[in-house]
Amino acid sequence: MRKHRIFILILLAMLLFSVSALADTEAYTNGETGYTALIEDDADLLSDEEEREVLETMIGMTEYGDCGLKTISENPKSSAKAYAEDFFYQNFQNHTGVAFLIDMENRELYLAVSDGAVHNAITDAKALTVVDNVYTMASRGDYAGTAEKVFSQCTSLMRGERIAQPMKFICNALLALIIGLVICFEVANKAATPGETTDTELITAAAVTFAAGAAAANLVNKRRTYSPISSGSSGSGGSHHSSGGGGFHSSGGGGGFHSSGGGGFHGGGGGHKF
Amino acid sequence: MIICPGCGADMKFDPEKQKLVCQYCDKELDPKDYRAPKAAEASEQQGYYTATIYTCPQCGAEILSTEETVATFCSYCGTSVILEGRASEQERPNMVIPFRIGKKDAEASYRRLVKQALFAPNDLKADSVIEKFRGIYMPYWVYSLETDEEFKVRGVTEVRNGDYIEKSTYEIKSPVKASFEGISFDASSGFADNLSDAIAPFRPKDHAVDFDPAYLSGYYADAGDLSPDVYRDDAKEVAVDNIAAQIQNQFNYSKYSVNRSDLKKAIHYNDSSKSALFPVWFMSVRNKKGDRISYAVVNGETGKAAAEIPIDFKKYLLGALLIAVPVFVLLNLFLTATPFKMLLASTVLALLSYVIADRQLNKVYAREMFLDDKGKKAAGKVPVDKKWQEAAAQARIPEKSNKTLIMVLKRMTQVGLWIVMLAVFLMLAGVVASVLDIDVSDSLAVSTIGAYILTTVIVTRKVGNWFNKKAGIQKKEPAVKAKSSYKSKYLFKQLAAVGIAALMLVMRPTDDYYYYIAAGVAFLLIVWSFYDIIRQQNLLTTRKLPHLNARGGDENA
Repeated sequence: MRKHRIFILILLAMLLFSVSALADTEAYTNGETGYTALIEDDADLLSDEEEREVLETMIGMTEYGDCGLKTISENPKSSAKAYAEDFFYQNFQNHTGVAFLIDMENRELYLAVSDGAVHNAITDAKALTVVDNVYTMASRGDYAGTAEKVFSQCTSLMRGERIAQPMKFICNALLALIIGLVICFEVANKAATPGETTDTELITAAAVTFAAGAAAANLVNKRRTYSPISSGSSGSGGSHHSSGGGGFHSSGGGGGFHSSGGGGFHGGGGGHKF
Repeated sequence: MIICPGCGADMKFDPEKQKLVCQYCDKELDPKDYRAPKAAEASEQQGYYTATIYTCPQCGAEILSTEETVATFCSYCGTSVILEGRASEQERPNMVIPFRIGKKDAEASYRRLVKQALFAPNDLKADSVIEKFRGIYMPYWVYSLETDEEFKVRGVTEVRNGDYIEKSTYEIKSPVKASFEGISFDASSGFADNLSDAIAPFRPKDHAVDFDPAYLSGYYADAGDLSPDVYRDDAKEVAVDNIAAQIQNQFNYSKYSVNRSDLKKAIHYNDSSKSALFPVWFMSVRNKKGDRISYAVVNGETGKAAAEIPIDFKKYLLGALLIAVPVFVLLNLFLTATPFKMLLASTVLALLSYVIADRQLNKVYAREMFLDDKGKKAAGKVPVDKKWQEAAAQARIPEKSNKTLIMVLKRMTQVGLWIVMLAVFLMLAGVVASVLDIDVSDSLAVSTIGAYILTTVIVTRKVGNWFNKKAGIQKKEPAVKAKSSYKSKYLFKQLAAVGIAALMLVMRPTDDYYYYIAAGVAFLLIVWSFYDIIRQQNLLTTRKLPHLNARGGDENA
């Protein structure tokens, strides 16, 4: 415990020296891991004191990867997701880590998680849960609290700890119950309904004889009708080729996407309107 | 009653020994060797035999016995009452299949069946209930069909030759000789079609003997009330379809554009029918309220059992909870609840529940109105409603067994189409998202899923119709659809669940709680709808108590 406190004090001392002097930007680099914590409060949602407090919370995350907080009042990108991924790539390149965006234009929160060890712990589903757990705070205007909670939950996940997911359990329980009802009904229905006898069984139970001689087809009449092949018709014997389409690649969904706007961010994440 | 020639006691037919056995001195006698009293013999020579008809004062059902003991309960309505008996001369059936399965074996067969029904009420498994099985000879019509002709059918070929189309008409001839003997359908309106169908077939070719009243000793017999015309077309359809299939195998008729239904139309035949009594172990159980009854039957020749088994809701719920546990664990591993996913899941499950409930309601409606039972309809027990009478008249077109392969191919193709179309639609959604440079959003996902389901349903139906045509199935079994006024009181829950989910997706409130509350309400409505579905299922596995409508009675009496 004592060692822990000393470690925190050293970190705080390091923080004082490494914090950037820029007005809306705070930064910290972890001397041991080399990972960085960065805050760019472009929307000016946080006071200096709040920025320092948030940065303090982000320090824990730098043990595992880079982390960034960005607030914006205008979003030139197509979505909060695209902006968050771009922000991460611009600042941390190919490192592993997370970037949390508060997009005031779209009223949206987005937590981008890059590929690598961080994404193994903070999966897309977990990122969604993290953001789900804080969006009400953002709705109330508590942006500092929102960011602090996001980064503390990310750190908890990296440490292998659990985060609260009450809705997940409630919804999954209801969903499981209904799936159970459906499966049981099919089982019960099968057992409760008398089967049906097939025609084959009826025939098998009967005394059947069958004998047929050789069949012969005799021509009765033949008619010839004039029906010219039109130039536009391909005819039944022709072949038809279609061209176009070609191969394509679709991307998206969970991990492993390539964002064109972000210039090389690989990973996933989750977002929420607030 | 058959008197033992040794000691004068009562003799009964023993299924294991296939002989009459004295209940007192164990003397055995072949029923064929039994000599009826002179008066009975005279009657038999005129084509009749003497029996006591017992009539149930509750439901009007009539059962026969050659014995003079008092019948104390009715197998059709389950009433424990002394049945009114009167002596009667009955027309002798042409043949009888004597009981080959004894009561103990019949009970064992039923126990095996009911053991598999995990959610069956305990009452149905009680010894006191199972011992109520009663051996009843059910009246049947045994149909025969034969053809001996030079079979002729017209076929056509078309060939393009330059700018001309040559159409040639052929007459295809083949000598055909075929006979079918022993396709049987029951002749009692009290014996439900679905139960009779479930324990079929009987094998008169193997075990039928000339009728002798001695075989009835120790058993009851249903008097029968249906003419051979009721199921004649069904029997002919089975035989003619089989002949057509065999003819089709002899020659390449498809080259001449001749399909199975053309062949069936071209077959000329003679048909006939004979009356018979076939052995059935019969049991009826009333529900706890005493207003409905369920039946269990066992084929007294083969031991094949069938039963209408209601579902115990408590057991069903317990089963659902037990299944829910591993499903819950799996869901937690692979699914993180988001408001959108929950709404989507509730919508899909509500629609699934709607489809199940709709199917149930149609069946229940048909059952309650006797629309699924040709025998009851023929006996005049169908409510007077022209629309539903027409539906009932077309009912029970048998599946064509020799088309099994085509039907399997049809199902496989349809399942394959669902998978392929899913891949196609996912790719299309990807292309749309890529071309328009948009994210794969909720609305895109919803519209993709909607378009996928709609398109695939249409395509698979078309493909199904094509296979049906190939198999020579002219029309599907006409589905009896319940009136919407009857259905609406049950289906509003599922529709409300879908409506709530749709409303949330349209309104798109920011706060997740609205979504979760909506999904929760939708889930509860779905659970409620499953409670209804089980109740409907229990209506389907039980029947209204017959009220003087079994013989000459009236549903409304």
